[in-house]
Parts: sequence; C-alpha cells; structure tokens
Amino acid sequence: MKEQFRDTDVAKKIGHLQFGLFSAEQMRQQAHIHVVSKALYSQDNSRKPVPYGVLDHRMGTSQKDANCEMCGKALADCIGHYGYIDLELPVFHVGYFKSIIAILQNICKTCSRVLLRVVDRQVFLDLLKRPTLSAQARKAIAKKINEKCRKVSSCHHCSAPNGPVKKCGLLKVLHEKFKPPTSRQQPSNETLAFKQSLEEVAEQNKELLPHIGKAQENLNALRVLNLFKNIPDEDIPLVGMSAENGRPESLILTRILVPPLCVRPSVVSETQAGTTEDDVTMKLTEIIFLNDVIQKHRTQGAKVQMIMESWDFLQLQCALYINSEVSGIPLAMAPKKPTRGFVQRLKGKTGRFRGNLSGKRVDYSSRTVISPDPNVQIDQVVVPVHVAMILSYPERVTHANIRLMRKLVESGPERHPGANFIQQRGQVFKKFLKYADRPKVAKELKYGDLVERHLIDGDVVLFNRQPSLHKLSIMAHFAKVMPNRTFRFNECVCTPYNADFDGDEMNLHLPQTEEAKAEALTLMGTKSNLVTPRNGEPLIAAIQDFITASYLLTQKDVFFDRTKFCQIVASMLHGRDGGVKIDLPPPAIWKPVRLWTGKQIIGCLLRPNKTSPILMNLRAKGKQYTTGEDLCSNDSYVVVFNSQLMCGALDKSSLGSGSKTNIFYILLRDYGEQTAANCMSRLARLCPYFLSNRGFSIGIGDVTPGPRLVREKERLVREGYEKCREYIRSFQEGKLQSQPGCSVEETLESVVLRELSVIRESAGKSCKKELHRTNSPLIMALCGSKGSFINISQMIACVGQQAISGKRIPDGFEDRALPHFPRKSKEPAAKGFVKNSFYSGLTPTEFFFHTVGGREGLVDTAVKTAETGYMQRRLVKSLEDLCSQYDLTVRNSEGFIVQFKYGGDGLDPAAMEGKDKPVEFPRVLQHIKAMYLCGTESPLSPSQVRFLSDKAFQSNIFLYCNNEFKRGIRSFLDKAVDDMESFWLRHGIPDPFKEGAARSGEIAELLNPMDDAVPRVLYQIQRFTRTQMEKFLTTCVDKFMRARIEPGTAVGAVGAQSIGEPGTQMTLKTFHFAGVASMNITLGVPRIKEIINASKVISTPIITAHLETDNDPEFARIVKGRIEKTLLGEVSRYIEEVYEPDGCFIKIRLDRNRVKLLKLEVDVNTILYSLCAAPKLKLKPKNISIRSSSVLFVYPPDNPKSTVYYVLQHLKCLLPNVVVKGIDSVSRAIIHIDEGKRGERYKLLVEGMNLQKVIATRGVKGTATTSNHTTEVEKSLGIEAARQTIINEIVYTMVNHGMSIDSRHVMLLADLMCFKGEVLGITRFGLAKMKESVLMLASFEKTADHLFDAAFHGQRDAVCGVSECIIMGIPMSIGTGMFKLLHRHKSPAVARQKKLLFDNPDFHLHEHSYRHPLPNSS
Amino acid sequence: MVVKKNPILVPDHIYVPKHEILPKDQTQGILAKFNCQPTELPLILVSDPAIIGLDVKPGDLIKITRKSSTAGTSIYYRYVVED
Repeated sequence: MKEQFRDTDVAKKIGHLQFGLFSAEQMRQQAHIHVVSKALYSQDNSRKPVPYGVLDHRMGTSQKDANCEMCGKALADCIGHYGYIDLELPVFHVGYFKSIIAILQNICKTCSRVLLRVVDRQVFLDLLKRPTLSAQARKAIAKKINEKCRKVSSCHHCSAPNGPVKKCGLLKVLHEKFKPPTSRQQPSNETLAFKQSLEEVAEQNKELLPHIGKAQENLNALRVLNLFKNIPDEDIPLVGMSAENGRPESLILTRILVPPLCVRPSVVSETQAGTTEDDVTMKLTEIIFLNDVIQKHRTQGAKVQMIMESWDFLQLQCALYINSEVSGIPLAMAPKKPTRGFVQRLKGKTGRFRGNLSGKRVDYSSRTVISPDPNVQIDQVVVPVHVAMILSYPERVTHANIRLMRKLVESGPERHPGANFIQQRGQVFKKFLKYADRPKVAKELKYGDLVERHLIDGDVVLFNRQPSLHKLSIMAHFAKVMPNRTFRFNECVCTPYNADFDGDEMNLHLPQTEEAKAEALTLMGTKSNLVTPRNGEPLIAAIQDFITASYLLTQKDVFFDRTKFCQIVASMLHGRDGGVKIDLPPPAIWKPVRLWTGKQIIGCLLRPNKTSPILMNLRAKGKQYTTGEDLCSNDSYVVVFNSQLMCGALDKSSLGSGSKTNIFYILLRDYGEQTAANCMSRLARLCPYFLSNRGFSIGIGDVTPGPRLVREKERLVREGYEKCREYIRSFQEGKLQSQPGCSVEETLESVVLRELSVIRESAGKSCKKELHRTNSPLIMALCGSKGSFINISQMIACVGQQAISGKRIPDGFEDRALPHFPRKSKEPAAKGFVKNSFYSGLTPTEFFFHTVGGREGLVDTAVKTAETGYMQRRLVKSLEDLCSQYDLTVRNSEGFIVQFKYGGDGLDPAAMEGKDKPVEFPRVLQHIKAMYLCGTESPLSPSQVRFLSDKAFQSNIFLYCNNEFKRGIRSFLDKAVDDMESFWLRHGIPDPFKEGAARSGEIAELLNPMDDAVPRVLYQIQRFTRTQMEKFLTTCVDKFMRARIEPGTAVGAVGAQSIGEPGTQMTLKTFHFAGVASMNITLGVPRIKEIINASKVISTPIITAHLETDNDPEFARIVKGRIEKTLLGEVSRYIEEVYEPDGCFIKIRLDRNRVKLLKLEVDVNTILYSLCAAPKLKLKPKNISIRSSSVLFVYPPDNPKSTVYYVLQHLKCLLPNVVVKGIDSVSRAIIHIDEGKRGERYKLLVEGMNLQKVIATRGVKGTATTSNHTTEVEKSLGIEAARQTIINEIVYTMVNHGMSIDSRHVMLLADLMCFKGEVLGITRFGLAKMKESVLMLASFEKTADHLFDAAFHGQRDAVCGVSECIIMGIPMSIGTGMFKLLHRHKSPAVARQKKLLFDNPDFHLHEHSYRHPLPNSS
Repeated sequence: MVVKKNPILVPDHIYVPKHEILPKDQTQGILAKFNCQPTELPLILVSDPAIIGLDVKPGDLIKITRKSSTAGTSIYYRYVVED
C-alpha cells in the first residue's frame, strides 16, 4: 500500500546536501576494485567479463541471470559498486576547467601563494569568515579577489613574475609569464634565461628562430597539480573553495571512478551475437587503452612527442567521458559519432533533472479520449469499466466495509466491482485474486486486511489535460463507472481544461490514500474551483448549447401549457436531484388557457420548491442592453428577484464563464459551491432536452442573403471602392495630405484600410438588420454562445480585407501581389480585399489572399506555443516557492520577505466579487433588501440611516477589516443616503429626525419616521429598514473576512500561472497605435517577455512627457524642439567647402526660416557650442568663426597625419550629422492631443531612451513623466518607480488584449523582480541572484554548470524550496506542508555512538602506521 | 567635455512613493514583528535615486508608503545595502 508520507516514520531525514570534490584518495575508498583491463569480455567464448575489466561483475550486475559478485544480490537488489582507474598522467577535469584557470590567475605560478598583499589578504579572509555569508556573496568576493590578483605582475611572497593566465586551445593553459621587452622596461632575468635556453634549441633548428619571441609557459596538468598541492590550507578560502569539501588538487583528475554496471547496462542482443555497450563503458575502455599506451611509452622510453600526443588524447577522452559536447576539438581528434557523457545524461528536458527527478512517470494512471455527457454532474467524470478494472485502490478492511469487501473479493479481478489483490494483515506478499480460492479468501477476510479493489463509483480521481497551464488544468472529480471506452464529463467543465472533443485525450489518476483523497477533494475539487484565481471570475459555467437553449427558453414569446412545462421541469431531475420535490409556480397566464413562461422554468431551476432556502438576486445588463434598465427594448436586462427570473433573456453575460454577473457565480457566492454546481447540472440536463424538442439547426438557408441585402452590399462595396479610388487618385496626383508622423504611402494605406473595414462593418450591420430573428447564426451571435457578427457577415455578405501583420497583402511578385493585377495597383481587390462572401464563393485571387491570411494565423499559433511555454516555465520556476505565511507576509522558501502583506491587503484574488474588490456593495444591498423584506418594520429616514451607520463605524464590527474596505463601505452608504435624501426632498417627505433634535437621543433610531400626510407608497421606494441595515453590514464584513488569503497558499505559483496562462491566448505580434498612427508600441507576448526579462534594450521605448503648460500647442512644439534630436544638416541650407588663396574652410548657412517654423532654439552660438562638444570632430572654438546670424565658417584643425584637403572632406562628411539640439538617443517626439472635458490637453510622446534628460528638460513636468522602459526608470527614479512601471506595463499590455488579471498577481511578480534592490529579470541570470539552491538552478537551465560550480565552491543546499523538495522526495513547506507539529519526546531516541575499533590505542603499532602511497605525481 | 552624471532628485514623482528612514528605535520592533534578519527584508541599494537626498547609510531601514490600488496605502520596508 502506498503509505501517506509521515515525517516521523523515517529514521533519517535529509537535512541538506553538501556539494564537494572527490579526492583521489576518497575515490579509492569508495571503490571496490582497481580496474586495469581494457578488454570487456574474455576471448575464450565463455562470454564472461574479464576480471578487473570495466564490466567486472564485482561492480554490480546488469543482467537478470547473473548476480553481483560483490554482494551476491540480484539485479533488482544490488545497488552497485564502484571501481577506479588510475591515470598514468593527470588531466584536467572539463567541468572545472574554468575554475582551474581562475585559481591559476589567483596564485603565484612559482610559490602557489595567493597574489594578495598581506593587508588585503586579511581583509578578504575576515570577510569570508562570516558565518552568515550567502553563497552568492561568497562568489562575489571570490570574483573581487580574482580581479585584484589578475593585476599583480610579481608575487608579493617570492617576487617571481606572474602574467595573465589564459585558456589556449582545447584544455590547455597558457601562462604569459614572459612579457615582450618594451621600450621602458628591461626584460627580467627570468625572461632572459628563458630566451637563452631557447636559443640553444634554435641553433639546431633555424626555423624556430622567428617564433622565440612568442614563446610562453605552458601549464600542463602535471604542473598545475603540483602548484595546487602546494597551496596552503589557509589560502584555500581565498580561491573560492573550502578545504573540507575538496582541495584544489582534486580539480585535476589523477584517478577516475568507474560507475557500477547498473548505471551503464550492457544490452545482450538476442538476434545477433555480442552485446551493445553503453557509451560510458566504451569511453572507459578507451581511457584504459590510452593509459596502457602511455605506460608502454614510458617504460620503453619513447619519444617525448609521442607521450605528449597520447597524453593530449587521454585528456580529450577524459573530457568526453564527462561532457561529450566539448567545443573546439580539433578535427583530427573529434569523435566520429556523438556519444552521451555524464553531462548529457543530466541536462535538458529529458535529462535526469527534468525528466526523472522533477517529473516522474506514475502508476495508477490512465489515458483515453474524452467525450461530452451533459447528463453527469459538474463534479463527476465517467470512467470506462475497462479502466476501472485496472486502476485499483488499496482499501483497509474495517467493520464498516467488510461486507462490501467480501463481495468485491468474491467477484475477483474480472468482474467490475471487484478486487485485484489482497494483502492479509501481517503478511508481506500480495495474493492475486484471479487464481485464488476467492470464496474462501472472502470468508477469511479480517479487519486490517488490505484489499486492492477496483475503482468504483464515488472514488476521488484526478483528471488532467495537457498543457497544464494553470491549477485548474488538473482537478478532482468523483468517478462514475460506465460502459464504453471514453472519459466523459459535463461540457461546463471544458473551459478550465481548455478541452474540446475533436479527439482530445485526457489523463486520470487515482489517489492511493485517504489523506490524498481528502486533500484532493477540498483543494482540487471541481466545485472548489468554479472560479479562477486569475481574477475571481467563474470558469466553470454554461457554454454553447446551454447558453443558446437558455436564451431561447427565456424569450418573451415562449409559453408552455401544463404538460409541456412539467415535462421540461422534470427533465432536470437526475442524480442527486432525482428526488427533489418541485412546486409548480402559478401560471403566468390563466385565461383562456393556463400557460407558463420559459422564465418560470429558470425560476424552478434555481429554487425548485418553497422549502428551498435559495433566494437569489441579480440585476445585470445583458449583451444587447439598450437603455432603461428593465424596460430595455431587447429584453436584455436580467432581473432575478428572490430566485424568480422577472425579466431579461439569459445570455452569455448571465450564464457564461468570464462574467461576475453570472447567476451561478451569484449562487456560489451567496449559497455555496454545492448549490451552484447543482444548478449548473440542472441546466445542463434541461437545456439539451429543451433544445432537442424545439430543434436548433443551421442550413444553407440561414446564410442566403435576401435580394435586399445583396443590393445593399453591392452598394456598400461600390461606394467603398469609389472612395478608395478617390484616395488613390489624390495620392497619385500628390494631393493627399499626409498624417502627422506618416509618409504619404503610409497615410494612403491607413485611410484605405479604414475605408475597407467600414465596408465590412456596415455589411455586418445590414446583415443584422436584414436577418430574421429566428436565424440560427444570428441567435448564436446574439446570445454569445458561438460566433460573432463578423462571422455572420463573412458568411453572408463580405469576407473583407485579408491582412498580414496588420497590413494589406504585400507584393509577392514584382510591384504587385498577384500577376492578375496591373503593376503598382493600389486597388482594394489587388491588395487582398475579398468582396465575396463564403456563400457567394471566392474568386481564385480572393481565395489565394484568404489562404495567405490563414497561413499567418497558423504560423502565429505554432510559434506562440513554444514562446509562451518557455515564458510560463520561467515564471513558475521563479515564483514557485512564494507562499503566504501565517503573519500575512509573502516569503520565499529561504525566508526572504517579498511582500509584507499579500497584494497590499492580504486578500485572495479568487474571492473578489467586484473588480479587485472583495465586495460589490450595490449587489449585496439589493440582495439583502430582497431577502429580508421586513414588512412589519418601519422604513428608516435618511438621517436615521446616517445615525446608524455612524454608530456601526464606532462599534467594533469592522475590527479586522482594512481601512480601504471601511472607506469603501462608508462612501457607498453615504452615497445611498444622499440619494435617499434627495428623493425624500423631491417628493416632500418630511424627515422628522433631520435636525439635531433627535440626533442626540438613542430612541430616535427606533422611532417610526412615517408621516400620515405622505402617501405610503412613497415610503416603499428606497425603503431601508433597521434589520436590513444590520444584515447588510454583517454580510459585507462576513464576505471580507472570507476573502482573506489563507496562510500557506502558494500565491507565487498561482500568480505565475495567472500571468502565463493568458499569454497563451494572446496573439503573438500585435502593434498598437499610441494615440498617433505613426507611433506603435509592441504588445502581446513579445512585450510581456520584454517586461519580465527586464531587457536592457526594448523594441519600442517610449517616454510619456507631460508638460508644465499643457493647453498650449505652441509651448508643446517648443518643448518638442528641445527634446527631439536635430542634426546640423537638418537646419542648414547648405554646407559647402570653400577654397581661397589664403586658406580653406567649410561654410555653413543656417536655414533660419526653418528654425523659426520648427520653433527650435538654435542659433549660431549654440551651434558653435555643439560643434565644439561633438566628440569626433575635435574642433576648438578657434576653428570656428561666426560670420553672421546665419553663417558659420569652420576651419580645419591642424592634423599632422593628414593633409588639409582630407581633413576638410572628413569634416564635410561629419558636420551634417552633428546633433545641434535635443537628446541624442531620442529619435523623435510626437505631440499627443487628449481631448478631455477641459479642452485639448497636450503631452509629448518621446520615442527613445534617456528618461533622465527628458525629465530635466525645461518645460517638461518632470514629476509626471514616465517611461515604459523598466531598467531606465530604475536607473533614474529608483527601484520603487521601476516596480510601479512593471505593474503598469503588464496591466496595460494585458488590458489591451482584453485579459483581466487581478492586480495582486502582477504586484507579486513586480515585487519579486524588485526585492533584491535591483530589477532582476525572470531569466537564468536573474534567477541565480534570487535563489541560492543549487538543485533548483540545476533543474532550470545550465544544469552542469551549476553543479560543477557548486562542487567547486563546496556549496550546501538546504533543500527547502519546491523544486529541491520534489527532487529529493520530501514534502515541501507550502500549503498543507507548511506547518510542523512541535512534540516533545519523552526520551531522545538517539543511539549512542560506538567507539571505533581502531581508535583503541591497544591496537596501534608503535610509531609505525601504514601509509598509502600518494598517487604518482612525477 | 564630460558631463558628470548625477541622478536627479525626483522625490515627488508620481511613481516614487514616500521614502523615509525608519528611526533606529523602531527597527527592532519591525524585525521582531516579522521575526526576521534585516537581510531577509527586501533590499534597496544605497545609490537608489529615490533615497539620495535622505542621507542614508547601509544598514538603515527605509519605510516606504506606497499608494496601492488594492489597499489604499500600504507600507513596505527595505533594508539599505551597498551595491
């Protein structure tokens, strides 16, 4: 049986992971045999592995028929044993190569001491000794030390020369010790001696002579090993390591471990002789082979060159053994076929970390195709019998279930409610019931036995569809076992899974313990997840046919006689509701026949009988709402009064997902999840019944336009084309007025596009007008169940313009889109306007254009999935461990505070009834007024209400509510009272307590304010009684209290999903025009990516600059001139060279007219200044002379390297590009006009960077000037402003795509990005700064790098985050795993440590202890 | 000509909430309230433009009064560190 994880059950707990290096000695201790033989199998046909070879069975076994020779256990039980290979010569470890170079840069290459002065040394040592130092800080210090040491050229300790150490070729280290002699410095003695030694060689070989100057010291592995061995222990922290977790010499391989056989199994092939060996095995044999070669060379005294060659090869093989993707291998040495080294086993999506440790394949799961079934409840899933007989649940036999268990055991594994195995109490092995004597076993069943029974009705199962983008993609359902082969569920639950039934498959898991079941049901149950935590909107709601049917049912002209009505109402009784008593409402029409309306059916559905406590109230606008509330001419104002649908046709806004005026949402909020789910199930049963009787279908007749519509459309197209032609004509004649910031072509495109879209729109409108109200597509569009007006208009009237990235179809041929049109034609038809409808049929050219547009959509979705998937992964990885704590803070797993109160107010986004607000006051008030009619009470007068509310605010009912909430409720009440007061005043109702007289008395609130002279009916309008007031306040407070976030909620993960999931729905490339047509802003996924990556370069940086005087266009233009980059060439009439006998110069004449027109603050003096300030020109004030107010002479400065002519030419080239006014990085600025109530307001939109300069510009209102560039805002306004920018930008982008996200999620993301004091992107670099954990970073990206780095630094992983806990198989400290129980044991059950046998001095020999020879170092 | 780049002071910018140094006698209270080390609080660099006028030293605690769309105003603390 799968046991529930219990901390106390395990004897030992993994407290932390310590990374470190394995020294050669430790390897020997770990290993069992010394592997020396290069052969795999003995040659005598016995198929036995060679003893001391890499396949020696003393290292475990990989075959079922052979046992391990070391422990004697079989394949499944032997854990494997290591061997080791001694290398003849040391080699570098690829993983540590960078670190080795860093250490070499830090130490003296002669005496191995760290190249620091004694003072610095001590400072750094003291810094490193601090116990609280984080791993990042430690790395930062190591980096600082490295920077310092690299500058040192001679050792402070032995004064030997030290030069830069570099990587040189493949795994070779070069030490540039010998600097070439410079003019100032004499070569050092060592250099001279080195040169001398080479000259001797050069005498023998003259060809070497020219290369002697370049000769440098090569640090081979052997030398480095010796250097590292000499590093004193106290210096080790300075190179970034820790002595106890591996000394530097362990970075160099002198011995390698041979992993056990089970890690690299040899596959015995059945068809052909021989075995297939793992890459690791093959590499090991190669290494042994090379080892032998080197040994042979050494004993035979072969040439040094040959040894070196073999050594290089050994080095390469050892590198490939670890990482087979080493770059820079010379072609001659490169392996023929790619192999899999250890690094390759770990990294990537299917590597050990992501493929086997973070996510695992599981038992008790199933997968099949899904199909819909409106007859099952919302919280059920139909499981095929076939599946149910395989999935089993281990149920303990108790006195409560023994009879059932007997029956199950008896029916065995092959009949459905049966059982597969039984494990009798106290026994280890399971009995397979297929071959057992089942009646006997059943009879002998005892309490405590374990029966692995089939899945049966009512079991809790987890149901999931990939991609699992949010927490609602995996939910708990109750199983319902039925025949046939698909999983079936209610269509209402399609939305959270994003499932349809075109062949989708889904997975089903069966939790194996009672705890898991209980937890799944409360946390993941469909009913607990009716709303999405993204914004608190309902996600599980009626869809498609359900909406259509409800819409048709609630039309004004739908009446039923008694039989029909009863039949429809009865159709909703099923399952849990089967026995519900229904009270037939009084008929809406009595004479001539008794008739009931469709709306009354909805009433029955909400509240079947009078004993039902459900009184639902709702007033909401529908999709086609016009004016006048309940007098809406389209009957689209839904009023539900005490569960009676008074008026309004139900449509998507009152039934569908994504709206808080959904009737199921109201039920959920006021009466709980079970009520809402029941109602939804009833609707799901009723609608198909009604629809299948009424009939709802679509045919060609529905999309056939009438003659009037055809004529109307022809006219529209003709007129539209004519207008377009006019534009084109005026364009060709050059008369077209260009729009600000656009070229003439762009202007033409935009006006033509607008004209063409008008055609389709008006065609759509006339469709809507012309079509009969029984037209099926129209009904569906009207009620929002499927399709839109555009779809209808495309089918019936006109398909419209086809576009590629927002533009008309571009030219695929020379000067035209298709060869069917004249060249350079701008006609609508030539550029992709489809005037036909799908009904009338597309012409060939139109058809082509349509496919062009269609392909763009396809490409877009394909690209988008990959892009958003990666974004989601990064978001989740960085936010996964954020969790709300019991003190309301949000902290990550390491205890760092990210927010002091979740979202600023500590409320749960899923519980928001209003927009980001916990309570929608008007609705609650309506509800309370309707629910508590309080007919016997007297109405309160306005002053009484005011008095009561004052009193309530002084009492402590709001004790735990925050101020914002209190303010909200206060202002709502005040407004209500004001309305009431003005109503009373208008109708002359006297308020007896208005003046202070009654205010003082407590009695006043109890008195009846009614005056007999006033018609009583007036008191009924805006009636508000004392009880209602009390109920209202307590309900609001109650809702607020329930909206508080639960401690332990994984707010981070939920937030990440809430931001990532809508990303998948966004179109990839969208631009949006920021006020002006010519300035567009990147939006959609790329923009979200930019923001969360905290990119330094963004595609459309825009600064919004408010002006000090914002109603003056002149002023705006002046400021624009100050900001926009203006080049000298743009303001001068000419720049020409002048040659005169006594000299030559460049003459610049300014175009003063232009300067005046553009309102530039430029004159000759400022130009002189900017010319002198220009960087490349090197002009001095003396080189420039001002001749008049518009003429400047620039004389070429003296240049010894060039002639005057060239200098002049050079100047002439550069001068036009000198910036004379404005900010360099600003390409342009545009004046934006806001047409508000107070007239036109002007502000500047500046395209470009440098917020700081824009703020500092005169005329700009610096305090209100913002940028959309996060890092720039951080630089000039600080981290808090950057945070605000992140929030605003994400919200802006999301709103633009019509996605609503609760601002708390965005705030959390922004706070996470900013909590380290600088803006960190959600990338691997940012993540490395946010998190300490090695395992977490390794499971994200750059797996091997992080692991090697951790080993080098001797890092420790506390295993506290989510990723680490999953990898280690420990419950994480989030949600139900967050709290621990403190329990004092009576006696600490710690075993006494035994003394080691050899610690006893009696066993010691005198002064003589065995020493193992160190690995060969010569 | 080298223009020395000094961050400009924009204390009343619409995006910059009120930053103030928390008096030393209140720091312990805050740390006790949240039961944490100062380094576990959110950080702010001593060079941050929003606090250059406040004469801040590393080790100070900055109290930030943010305008919040959800809670009206919310208080945030940041611990000053060197960059």
